[in-house]
Amino acid sequence: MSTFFTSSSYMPCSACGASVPTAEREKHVCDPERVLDYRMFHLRGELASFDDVLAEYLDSPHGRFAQWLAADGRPLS
Amino acid sequence: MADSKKIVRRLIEEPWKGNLDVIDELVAPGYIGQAAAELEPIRGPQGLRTFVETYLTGFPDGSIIVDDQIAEGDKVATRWTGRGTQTGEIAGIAPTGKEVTVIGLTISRLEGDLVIEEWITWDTLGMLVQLGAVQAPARA
Repeated sequence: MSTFFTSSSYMPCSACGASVPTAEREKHVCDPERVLDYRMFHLRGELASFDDVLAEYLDSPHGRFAQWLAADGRPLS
Repeated sequence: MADSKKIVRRLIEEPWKGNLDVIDELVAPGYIGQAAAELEPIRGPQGLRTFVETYLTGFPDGSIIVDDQIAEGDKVATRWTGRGTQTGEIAGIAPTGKEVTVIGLTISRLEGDLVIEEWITWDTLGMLVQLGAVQAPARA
């Protein structure tokens, strides 16, 4: 298939996801806030499960011991 | 009869600004929309509302800007640009967080102050390429 059919005059920036005219991609400068938003969007699954993972850890033998150490004012390692 | 270009501009732009009721206001009960990417014609105001809502689900921040219009007789031709960030599923594609830009053309036929028929052609393949659903080969 020719590239004629599968190219687009706009493409999303791989770093920030912004829609950038293909002819101007060399000039594109990412907005740092947008880069952060884009990365956070891709981590949304992990972020959503963070509380569950933390609760599971805190309920594990290692997590309970870490809590006991912290309550006693001693470092874990 | 109100300005046909203004009627069509409102119908194309306003649903994307959250005013889906404009569809009931400006679309005739017997409306038929022929969209190149759709298997079946879009029928009636409810059909058009469902069509727009499908894309709003995929692109909740989506917007359409009318770039140019030409009117002749009972028809209005509109060139437009759509832009939005895909934070919802669209066409089976999981949310990517990518922003896409597509261009399109709509020819609208009016009866009085209502849009009764439309022919919609837009860069569906461009959207799929931009979302990574269709592989774009490296350029030479």
